[in-house]
Amino acid sequence: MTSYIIRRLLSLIPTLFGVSIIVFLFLRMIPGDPALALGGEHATEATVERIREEFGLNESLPRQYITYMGKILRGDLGRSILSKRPIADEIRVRFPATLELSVCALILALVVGLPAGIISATKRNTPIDNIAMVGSLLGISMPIFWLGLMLNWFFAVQLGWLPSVTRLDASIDLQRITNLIIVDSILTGNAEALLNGIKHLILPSIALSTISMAIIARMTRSAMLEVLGQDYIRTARAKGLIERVVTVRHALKNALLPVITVLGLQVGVLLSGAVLTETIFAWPGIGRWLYLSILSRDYPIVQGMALFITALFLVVNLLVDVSYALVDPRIRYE
Amino acid sequence: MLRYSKTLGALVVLGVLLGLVLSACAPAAPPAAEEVDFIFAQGADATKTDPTDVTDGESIRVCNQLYDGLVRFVPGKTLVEPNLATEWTTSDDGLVWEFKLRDDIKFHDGTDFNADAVVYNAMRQFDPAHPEHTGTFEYWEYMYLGFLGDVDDEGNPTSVVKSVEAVDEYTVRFNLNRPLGPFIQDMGMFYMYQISPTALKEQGENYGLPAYTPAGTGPFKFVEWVEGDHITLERYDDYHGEVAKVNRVIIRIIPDNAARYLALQAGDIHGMGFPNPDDVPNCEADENCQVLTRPPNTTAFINIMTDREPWDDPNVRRALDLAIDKQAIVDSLYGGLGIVGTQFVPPSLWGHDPNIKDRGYDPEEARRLLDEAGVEEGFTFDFWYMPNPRPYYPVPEDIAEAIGTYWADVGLNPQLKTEDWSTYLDDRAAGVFDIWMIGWTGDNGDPDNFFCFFVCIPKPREGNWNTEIAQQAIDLLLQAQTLSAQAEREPLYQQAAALEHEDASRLFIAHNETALLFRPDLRGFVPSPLGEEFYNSVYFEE
Repeated sequence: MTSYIIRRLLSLIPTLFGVSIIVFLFLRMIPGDPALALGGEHATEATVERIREEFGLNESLPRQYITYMGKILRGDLGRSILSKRPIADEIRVRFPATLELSVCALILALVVGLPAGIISATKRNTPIDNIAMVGSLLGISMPIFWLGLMLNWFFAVQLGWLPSVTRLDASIDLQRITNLIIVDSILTGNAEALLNGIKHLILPSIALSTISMAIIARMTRSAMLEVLGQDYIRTARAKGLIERVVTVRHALKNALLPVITVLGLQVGVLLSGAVLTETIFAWPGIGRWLYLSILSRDYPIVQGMALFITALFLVVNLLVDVSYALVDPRIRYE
Repeated sequence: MLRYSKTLGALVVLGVLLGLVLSACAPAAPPAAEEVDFIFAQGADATKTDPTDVTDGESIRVCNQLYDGLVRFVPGKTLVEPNLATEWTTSDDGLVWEFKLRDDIKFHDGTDFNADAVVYNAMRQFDPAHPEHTGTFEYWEYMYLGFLGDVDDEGNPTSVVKSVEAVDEYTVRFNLNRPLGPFIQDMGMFYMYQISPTALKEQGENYGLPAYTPAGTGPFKFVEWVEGDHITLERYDDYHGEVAKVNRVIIRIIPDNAARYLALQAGDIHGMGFPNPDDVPNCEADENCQVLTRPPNTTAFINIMTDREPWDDPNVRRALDLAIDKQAIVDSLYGGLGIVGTQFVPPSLWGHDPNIKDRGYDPEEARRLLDEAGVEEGFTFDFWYMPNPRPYYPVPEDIAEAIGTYWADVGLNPQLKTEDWSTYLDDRAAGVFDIWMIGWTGDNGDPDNFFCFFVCIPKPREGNWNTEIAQQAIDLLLQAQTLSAQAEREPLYQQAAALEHEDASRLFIAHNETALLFRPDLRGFVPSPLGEEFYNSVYFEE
């Protein structure tokens, strides 16, 4: 198992190298000059030229790539062309916000989606099954931006129960340690910030979780239905085991493999959904930041984030693969 | 029985969970912000709190509260008044400007403001060899045309500024290489705000970054900057002017226009900029919302290559102008927040000539002029519009479609085209387009700022105006640049505007007003055509 994990980690290197080349070339194929985007309408030719020189944009493509990779190998993701700040610093500040939101959304998706799928499968073709499946269809098909705005309008504007935007009321002082509001609130014993942070998390988490929740519910139902039809389930029932034990201990455990695969893929779904959720709820994470950086041709940010997200995605997939062996003893990695 | 008790148990657990969630959701008090804070939401984060090294409105809004200049724009106007300088004089030839400074000012870090500080601030931007010349200082370069040591092809200095010197502790002198009419207006702009030299030396190239504390002399001091979320400022009790009525200003970052409006309705913020056009009438109709508008400081126009057929015929250009119902465009596509454009300079600025009138909407006359010029029915040409909203064109695609339809009505066949914004900027300067939409947002309230980027010094940014009349206008504009007195300069700009109107080298569409939305009890916010708003006058009505 250990050698397998090491091999997989080593395979990250050529993957990241390939991604760096593809992103680097594709970005430069898109029309648009970042120096002009930074300088704007008012910029003189001298200013634009100065910006190009400062960021090495007037050099040849191979030269730019070598310079870029040289910095990457030294652990330097570069500086944003627009804000001129180190990208690593920006990721350190923004990623915890996305992480906090995505983890909450994933937990919510699991807590609701998994039981919904199990109940649907065990109550197949009953009104409960129909309601759960129509609900999951709605979850998949409802646009996040629309749902987000509706949640915002109803719970924040009409009912006034929840805050409409951001991670924490500006009037609340919280010492930032990890930049995860919930974690920092607990670490510093700040109950007011903890409650406020949870309230801020509810609406964006619901908006972001709907697609994942629906996919998990449908995948769980389908995997459970397949397993529930197997001979060993009939045997278990014949042995007189109660239905809860048959469902949870025998059926669910074997139905989990495809669900875990889907869970791993949800990292991508959540990161792409974060662009919209973060925009609607003014959540200062990496989603919207990356989107705006693409629009403004902020090459270093897009390149740095592409590498960061690729690495994140690959590590999550590795964890998914490793977890197969934990769930199913028949799977062995050598 | 067992099944029923399980179902009941599940329902009880579900009910308890639901109750817990709802109890967490129901706050003890409504989420309205405290009255002593003024919370304003903007669409993007600031890039820096160093006013000399920013160009974006979001950063400038923060800097307006933290800093002062030697002069400042009168709230709501484009004229300047004394601020850190009590008075100023200029030499007859316009080459020497001397400012008397206030002697009772301290920066937020407790250090003294004096002539040495002004010299330090100016030289930091002007002199590339200065130890703190660590930014690109785009606005200094743009307004003064270069840095110390920059020379043109003939070896002459390109920079308007020659040197800056302290005459005594509270007198500072700017020496110029050549007169610059708008010089005093430029001094009111954000890039000439005064920063504590001590803070600059201590923080070096990090000055203005989120984790560092900026030090100006403005009505508010910096407290914290949580990136992408908010910037908090607090009242500076020793402010030399009107001490702020609110304790704190919080600038919140809410990127989405609709979400910003929802946050205003929910009471999470007190004011916001850049609403969706549809939300402005909604706010007007809502007793819990108020709309304030900035006087127009933008000009939207269509540029034409006057040396290419058939646009080299002034009558063809006039026909294009006559074919557009500009009032209808303003009414429907600017949400009523605008006026029909007739010239570069908007009516809120001096230099505007009220005698220049729109040619009016006359498609019959347009068709006649086109026939007379021999332009064939169905003449096809590319009409370029920008891909993203600009302050002067809030919905460029819709406006381009409307204009295209008007031109089609008089027998032309415009093909609407667009491309990436930075490529668009590049191509319009390189002469790729024949006819394209563009515009301008004023920087300093001076008519020179509207004309000269496109028409005069150091060379026209868009080299499309090549007629004889154009040269006459350029001569007038260059002459106006050498004068200091507004009374002498104004008629020259008006004459240039009249020449341009006659030549129809640009088709002026609209001057756009900008809407700001606020809570209804907010008072003291004075919208500025330049966006130079100071929050020390803001308060909430009891």
